[in-house]
Amino acid sequence: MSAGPSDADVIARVLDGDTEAFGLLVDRYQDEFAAYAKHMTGSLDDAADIVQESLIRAYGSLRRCKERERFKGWLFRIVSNQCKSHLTRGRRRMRRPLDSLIDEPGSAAPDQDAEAVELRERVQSALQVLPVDQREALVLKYLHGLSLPEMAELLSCSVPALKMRLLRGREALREMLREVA
Amino acid sequence: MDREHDDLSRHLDGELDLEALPEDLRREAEAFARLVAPLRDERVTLPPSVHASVMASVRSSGRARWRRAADAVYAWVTTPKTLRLRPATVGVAVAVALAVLVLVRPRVAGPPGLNPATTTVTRFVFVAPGARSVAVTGDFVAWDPDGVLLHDARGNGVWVAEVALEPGVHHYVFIVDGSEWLPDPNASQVDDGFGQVNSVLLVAPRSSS
Repeated sequence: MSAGPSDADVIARVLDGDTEAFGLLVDRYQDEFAAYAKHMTGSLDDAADIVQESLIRAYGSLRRCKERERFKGWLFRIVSNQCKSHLTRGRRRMRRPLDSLIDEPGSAAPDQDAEAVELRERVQSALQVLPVDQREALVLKYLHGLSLPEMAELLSCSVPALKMRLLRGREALREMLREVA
Repeated sequence: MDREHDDLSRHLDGELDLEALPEDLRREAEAFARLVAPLRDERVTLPPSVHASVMASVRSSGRARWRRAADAVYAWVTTPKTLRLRPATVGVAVAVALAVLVLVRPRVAGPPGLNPATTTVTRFVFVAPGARSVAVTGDFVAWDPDGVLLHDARGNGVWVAEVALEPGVHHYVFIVDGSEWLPDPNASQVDDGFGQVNSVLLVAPRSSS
């Protein structure tokens, strides 16, 4: 199966005037970053807004993406900053209950295991209580499977600092979810 | 709150295999993995409306940019201006633009594709002590990420380049050390609509005399 044109090739096409090619990058990354934004904000609606705004900003600044082959990391920084701005502004809106998202287009996949759904909701709620830097570290490491060096590069911080954020985040998470952990 | 065992931390940081842990720590590691598994396995799919909204914005941005540019030019031409000098704030690359001086020079050849009879040589000056390189990029070079290099001929942090430009309004920024894109603080600036700021330069047509 072909992986399709590289990010760098797509960016070159877009900058040469093929505006529609940007849709390839949207398709390639919107769901992955929506999952990240949902884990950070706890809301699928907010995640959709954040990803949409981030992709529009990315298009507007595409010429400023220096290392086109590392577009994903560049886009992540935009999404990450949008998440932090969103959380800092306290712009969180009334969230729909998780149940109302099931079976709707654009929702998290329905899960047959009610226990898993409940646990997921509790962990998601507990994550929202954590400081943003700890939440971000936990999300990237345990929900998106990044290594510490990858995280250090994306977040522009040291590995020891990340270890400390992870440790504090894990301990706080266990404490909040003591009865299910 | 119980403090996490160092070996468990090393495993959860990805530095120690699960098999290397003693039984009690292995159970703790597995318990943490179970805790995050439902969220980790969650699949999120955005509705098609997100893709459609992004692409609608992308398609319209070109037209919107021209409208904003026209508005900015009108405001620039019709509004009296006060020159403000601000202290530099950007670390080692303390950058203060001295001026963009427009010099009309007959018989100066411009870049390929330009008509020397109509172009005007524009001098870009940027002060960046300690910078390793400074370039200028803008619509006149199709926002080439490499831009046109400025030169610090005297080694005193004053970087200069001359570029032949057609008459009209040009948007540009300086690129310091290949990565830091800075607007010219001494020129008019416009929001590009995406959270970035471009500087604006108006090049008047050359007189026929």
